[in-house]
Amino acid sequence: MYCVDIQSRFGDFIAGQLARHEREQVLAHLQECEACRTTLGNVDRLAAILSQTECPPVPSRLTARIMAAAGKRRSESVTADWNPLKWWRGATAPMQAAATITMIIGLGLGCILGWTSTSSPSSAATGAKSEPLDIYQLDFLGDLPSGSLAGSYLALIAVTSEGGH
Amino acid sequence: MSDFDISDESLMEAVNKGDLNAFEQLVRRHQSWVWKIAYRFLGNSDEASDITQDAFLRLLDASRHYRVTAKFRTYFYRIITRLCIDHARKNRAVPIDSLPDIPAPGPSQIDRLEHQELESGIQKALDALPPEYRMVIILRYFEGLSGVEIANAVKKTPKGVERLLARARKNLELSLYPYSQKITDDYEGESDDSPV
Repeated sequence: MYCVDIQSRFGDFIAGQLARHEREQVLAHLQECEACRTTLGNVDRLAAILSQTECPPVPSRLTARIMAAAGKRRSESVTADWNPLKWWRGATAPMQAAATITMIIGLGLGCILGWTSTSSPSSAATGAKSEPLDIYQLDFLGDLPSGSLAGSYLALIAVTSEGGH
Repeated sequence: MSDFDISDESLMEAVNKGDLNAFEQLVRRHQSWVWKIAYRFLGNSDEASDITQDAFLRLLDASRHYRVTAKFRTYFYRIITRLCIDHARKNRAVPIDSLPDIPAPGPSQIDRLEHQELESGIQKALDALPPEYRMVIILRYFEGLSGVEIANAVKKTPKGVERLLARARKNLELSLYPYSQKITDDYEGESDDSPV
């Protein structure tokens, strides 16, 4: 085995994290190779130096601070998360298929009903022939004398209505 | 049943259903090591707290996509290492001259000053490393992670991690040479004094 392979295991070797057979391989190599022994000494010394450092204690208010931020984040995400496609993404395939079929049927029915109501000749004819009093439901003006302001208004919308048709 | 009988993975599933008490348990369990990694990486208590908070909020956001495929800790190592490295890239060359007053061992004032000098030297040497080198050194020497665990955390192959570690060690050995000599001398001095 090459030195570079052995040296790549020094970290795990020092930490005692190598499997038994790997550890034996490293030990056997170290007995024969002075360069690797020197490198291992350096790695070991580095570990000794770094172990001299201490870490200060975790700030006492850290938990409260994180929980306050988490509560805020959760309440924001409840309002910001509204997404019409969210249900779709979470739905199973049969639910998606059922929703698609329902939507197609609904759209189809809507189109058919819309088409029949606009193209029906009876509704057009009725509209053309109806008096303004019936069309605009102004029957309360029907009893007014002719020549009055309201009478003139009725005459005007009757002309407009006929022109429109 | 005590709090520690519930696995981290189960708590994450509870968090996904909106249980903030489960989230608080995760915070209490893991904040210490997360904060220490951030502190060692950044060398600053306030920034370490900010990064720790960000890491937990990321965890909260990620809870809805969380699948129990990897160990929770491995998953969280990825979050904290990513945040630290990104932070270091955005805020390059942060001078660490004001280290916090850590109670140091040693009976005399001189011992304490020497210890502070050593800590300051180590922190400066760490800060001088590129972010990825610094992170693998922290995960290896302070967190005691194996090569495979570090590889999972930093999303590299174990071989790639060993290469990073080898380069990082070389850089550190150079900058820590004076301290290394002193520690060796101290150690040898102690050995000479000790009765055979």
